[in-house]
Amino acid sequence: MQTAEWMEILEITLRSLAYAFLATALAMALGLPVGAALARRRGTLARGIAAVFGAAAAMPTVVIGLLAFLLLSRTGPLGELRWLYTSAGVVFGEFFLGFPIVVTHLHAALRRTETAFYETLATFGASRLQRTRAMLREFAAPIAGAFTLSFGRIVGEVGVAMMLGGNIRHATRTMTTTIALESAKGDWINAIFLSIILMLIAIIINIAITFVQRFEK
Amino acid sequence: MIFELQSISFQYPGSKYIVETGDLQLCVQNGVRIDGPNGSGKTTLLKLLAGLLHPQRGQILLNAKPLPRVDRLKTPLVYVHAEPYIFRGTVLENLEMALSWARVPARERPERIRQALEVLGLGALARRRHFELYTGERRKTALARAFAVHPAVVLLDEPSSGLDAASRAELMDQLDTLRASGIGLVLTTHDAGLQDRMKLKTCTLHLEEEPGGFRKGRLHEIADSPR
Repeated sequence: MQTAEWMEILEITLRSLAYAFLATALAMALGLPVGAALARRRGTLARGIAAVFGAAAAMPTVVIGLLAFLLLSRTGPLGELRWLYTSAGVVFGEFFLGFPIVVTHLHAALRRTETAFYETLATFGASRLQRTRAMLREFAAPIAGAFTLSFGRIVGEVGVAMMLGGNIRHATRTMTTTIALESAKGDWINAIFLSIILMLIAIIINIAITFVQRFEK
Repeated sequence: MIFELQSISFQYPGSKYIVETGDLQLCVQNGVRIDGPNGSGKTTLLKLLAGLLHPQRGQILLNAKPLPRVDRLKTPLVYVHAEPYIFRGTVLENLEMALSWARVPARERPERIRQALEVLGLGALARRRHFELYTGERRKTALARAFAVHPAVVLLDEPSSGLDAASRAELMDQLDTLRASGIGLVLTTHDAGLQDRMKLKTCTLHLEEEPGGFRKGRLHEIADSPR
């Protein structure tokens, strides 16, 4: 491979990681309070909402991609934004992949939290900010777990990136869309090389999850 | 420290258990024990006094003023669970966290922590992490955490349950020390030994079955209370 090809692979890899990181960060920002709030409620409505998030977390990526595409298409409700086939569009769609994963993971982890946790904070008069900080400290492991799970799913998906990004060279091309394209063209070397990078990322994420789980105690 | 219960009534949403009291005064300076059969609402009453729950009817006064929100109390009322929650970290870090939540100035914290560890005999365990503590040590940590913030009242739910004889004796000494330092005590216990030793005033919740499957824990009188 020539230098230009190496540079392009590096560019694609960095773009994929940036998309996944941004989308996961947004999913965390919204998913953390939603997951925590759902975990504290025991009613039928809360259980129903949690079930919807659970189903969304398992939804095929092309379905999420299609829904996000309909939202962003010219005639769609968010068509004015003109995000289709842009990086913003890809991050927007990938956010919908990560968001239900974050909510579902945190809901499962926090719903077992004893009432004593919240009452102990209350009895010492902890402020809202102090309670949030205590929660982040106490549940650092499930929070990190939610991040790695969401990041792992997003970085390895192809449906959303293809439908919303359009696989435009030097603009929205990601590792997975490149693998799909190169395989279709019969250029196996590039496809295999990018697959190895993706596998390495998957291994690193799994090591990170194992590492995080060691601190679950 | 005097709690005044003005015909309060509390019911968990959707539950058939109700806790009710008449008009009562509870002087907690020398310690009060809340007694009653299982399910009569002892823990609920304790949480109501701690301000963690709020009655749907009636009100609770503390020293003749309505009980403020827990985060607006000048001197805290600390509730200690039967199975206390110890936060991730060492015993020392747990004390530090409690002091910061209770807005104790940073310069006062080291001395408060030293005192609390000494009174509760936790010096050797100060660096032990939350998952390395046994039941008795978790209780002591929770008590030290409460003591460190210099509370007006400590409300303890079954403080001696699950403890062996030596730990119980130690706990009674520590509760006596707390009481001697001017901290009000309210506790629930089925431990006759603890009651004999501490000679606490007792108020009893009576469990009554009501039509429709409702169960009411009623508190109307306090033995040996200054009415």
